Amino acid sequence: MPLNALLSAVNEYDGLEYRIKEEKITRAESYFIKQESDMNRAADVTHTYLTVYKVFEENGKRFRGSAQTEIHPGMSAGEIKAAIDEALYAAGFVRNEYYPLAEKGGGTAAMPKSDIEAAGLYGALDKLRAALYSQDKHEKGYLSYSEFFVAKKDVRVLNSNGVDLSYTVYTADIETAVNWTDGKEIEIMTQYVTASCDPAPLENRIARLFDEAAQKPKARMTPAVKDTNILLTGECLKEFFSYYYANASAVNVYNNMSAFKVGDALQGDVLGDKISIALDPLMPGSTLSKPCDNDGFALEASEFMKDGTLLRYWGDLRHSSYLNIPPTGLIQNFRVTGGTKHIAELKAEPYLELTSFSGFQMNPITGDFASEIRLGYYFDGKETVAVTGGSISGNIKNVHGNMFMSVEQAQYNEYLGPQTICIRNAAIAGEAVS
Amino acid sequence: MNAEMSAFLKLKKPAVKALADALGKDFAYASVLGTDVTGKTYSVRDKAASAADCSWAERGFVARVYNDGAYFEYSFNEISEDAVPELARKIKSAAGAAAGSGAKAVKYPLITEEAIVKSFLGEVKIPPGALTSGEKIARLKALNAKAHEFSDMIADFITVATATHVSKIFISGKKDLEQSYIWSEAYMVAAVRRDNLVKTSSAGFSGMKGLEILDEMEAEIEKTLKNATALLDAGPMPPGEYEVVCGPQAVGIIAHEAFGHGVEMDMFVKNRAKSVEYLGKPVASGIVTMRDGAASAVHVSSYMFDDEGTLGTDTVIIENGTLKTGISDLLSALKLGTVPTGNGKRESFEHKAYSRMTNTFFQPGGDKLADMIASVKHGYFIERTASGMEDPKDWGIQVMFESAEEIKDGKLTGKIVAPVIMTGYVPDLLKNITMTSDDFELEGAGACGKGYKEWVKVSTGGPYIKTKARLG
Repeated sequence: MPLNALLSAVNEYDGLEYRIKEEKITRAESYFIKQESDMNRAADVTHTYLTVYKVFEENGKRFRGSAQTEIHPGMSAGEIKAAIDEALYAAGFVRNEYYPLAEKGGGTAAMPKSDIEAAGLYGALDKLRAALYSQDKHEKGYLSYSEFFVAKKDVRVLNSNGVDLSYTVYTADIETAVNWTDGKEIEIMTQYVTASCDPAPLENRIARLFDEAAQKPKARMTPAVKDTNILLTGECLKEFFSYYYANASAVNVYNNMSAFKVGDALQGDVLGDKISIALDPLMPGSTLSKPCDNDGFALEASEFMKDGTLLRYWGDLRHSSYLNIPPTGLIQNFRVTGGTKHIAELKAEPYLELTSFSGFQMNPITGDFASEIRLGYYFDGKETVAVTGGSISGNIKNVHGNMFMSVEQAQYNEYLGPQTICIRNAAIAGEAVS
Repeated sequence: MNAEMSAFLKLKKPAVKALADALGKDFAYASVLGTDVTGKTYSVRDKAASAADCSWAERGFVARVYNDGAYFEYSFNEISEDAVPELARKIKSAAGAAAGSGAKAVKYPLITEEAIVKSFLGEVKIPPGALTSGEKIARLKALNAKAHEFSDMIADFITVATATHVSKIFISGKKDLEQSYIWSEAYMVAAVRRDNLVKTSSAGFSGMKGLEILDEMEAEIEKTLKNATALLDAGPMPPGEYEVVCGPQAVGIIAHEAFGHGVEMDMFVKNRAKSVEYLGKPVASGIVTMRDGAASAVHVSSYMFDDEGTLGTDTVIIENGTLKTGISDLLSALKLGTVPTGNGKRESFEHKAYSRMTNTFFQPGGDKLADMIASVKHGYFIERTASGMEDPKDWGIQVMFESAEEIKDGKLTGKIVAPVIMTGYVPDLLKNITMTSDDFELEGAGACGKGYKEWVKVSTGGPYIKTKARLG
């Protein structure tokens, strides 16, 4: 086994500081064209990642260099030694400020239970497939393809300070598209990532996808509205709120990429809702939940933004040490709260609601966001029509002072937060409005 | 200097052959692809540095078998000659378990192969091993220091360099293929700051090259910093339809997103591509010719055989404005009754092979860039891309650009707008191309996804083009 061979090898080095992450992955994959099986695949692999450290001093200042490499199954003792030597040599030139490694602690919190464990990989895959195709019942449309990936990942994190933590992650990843013909033929695709094989959320997601597909052929060109409320709905909000997550990170603050300061009112003078964001390492349903990070640091929930104000930076051991703040560890799940309006209230006035994009993108450093519009709905105060085409662009700093968030929440894997937000001051490129 | 074939794959080849033989006894078709991709990524920024295996590194195997009219694949990363019988039994058992869902299966014909024994060793000017890791980090540190000589507004200056050594073997009943080659990529990201405003600009470098790529970076430092600084004062893009002149990088991403994904022929099999209705029909201006292929150019996606053991080719996708054909993996070609084009690519041995682009580009024309700019009444000059997204069924296009510079009365005004998003209907965009320059560049830094995943290496490019597009 590569881990045993690697542990024997690192123990040959006197006082070597190291970190090891081992991942044993078993995965069942199934590919469909319409409802027919196109291919099945399986994977059974082990990855063992080694990071070695070298501490050195220059002009009385301590530095910690590091280098990372993968130790592959079947590597001979000589190959493993050569890989360690090469990494150690490189680490001597990686001149980073000194930081501590994780210490052996009192264990970690339990992972949220996944129903995939009881169902087994193929059982879970069958459940998800049945849930997906239960919605494929329309005269004008069908699921043109689907891909299912269900995996179990056993993770073990060790380091030279005696850290030795293990956890298991179950993941399901589904990609599919609806083809719909109503006058013209269109397609809308989606990806669904979860740590559960519960059929209900998938059925809902696919039902909504069919609803959207039914609207798209009838959709007219998006109007280039100027003073109308813009509602953003769905998974784009994970990307939208990632701006705060990225700028509150110790790594971006340390590297001078973020101008966020603790205590700052990040939204400025707020006329709308005030945003609160918390990190949740063990969010149920998220494939990114874990009890410890890659350093072997035990993770706990932590709020970093409250009512629009930055409470703290978050970060791993290294960058938290640089900023002299308590570490949170690297947590990828985040919850956004603070919404005060129901979706029905947000829709009481004329609006342009955008629900599907080619790929909504937020530059986490500059706050610029933009995307082509695949589907939306325009309500002019009298009637609602589906719209498509054109684009949205703007900067979060120009919109978050006067933004409202829905009370209703939605989860998209590592994001749990408002289902809809209402913004102004974003530019819509589309058909001129008379 | 020629790349050297992986010692690991040479060592494991007898076991791989034994596995293919063992599987061949139980299945009508069996093949094994072995991969050993090594490489290091070095990164230096103002306050930090790193050294690690590159993200493209992988070492493992994927076996494919024909099981009752369908193909099954099994990915693994441990093999020895002693363990071949047990591994073959495991694969047979997994194929049986996967087929047990009861779902009706798409029936595929059996792969028929011609006997080929062939090998390829790529060539680079300066191999990655010519410098030590310490020397490579020192080169990047020197670039960082040079950047600080140009500007005192730098918030951070990041340089990243990767050399990737790809070795692959493909063994089946009739094929015995080996290839080994090196490609490199590098980036620089300039982040500049004025008060609380941070803007970034980046530049990429890539090719079937070795350490010579480090020499190319220095020349771009000043320009990248100037671009980032200009973004601090950039205004918003006034939404509208404009005449645009796009540089090779922008043209490449248009070719890639507009038509490349739409002619990946696994999309034909799934009825996901509008282009299938337009084969043999005009889809672009008569001055547009577009190609793709591992053998179309020498760049980051040039290889002798793809990840299904099909030899790479050179495909003319659009010829003088008419859509000629698509690009395909082996199984899609079997299903469609066409000839595979050697475009079956995997993210790694752990992933399925799909029809994927390789080196995709518009061919150059005869115009001069200066004449193209001079011909624009009011429009924009676009060079640096940010990202793009395909829409092969609806032929919508989304390409994000870092910035654009205004052109008025045939002259660049120096007025910068950012960010810029180009949207529209692909044939409109391509039919509006009225000029193509005699320049030609390919660029392959970064990665291409299919849908939301499946990242592979591609290059894209072409000449400067003039067209009309909706910008926002």
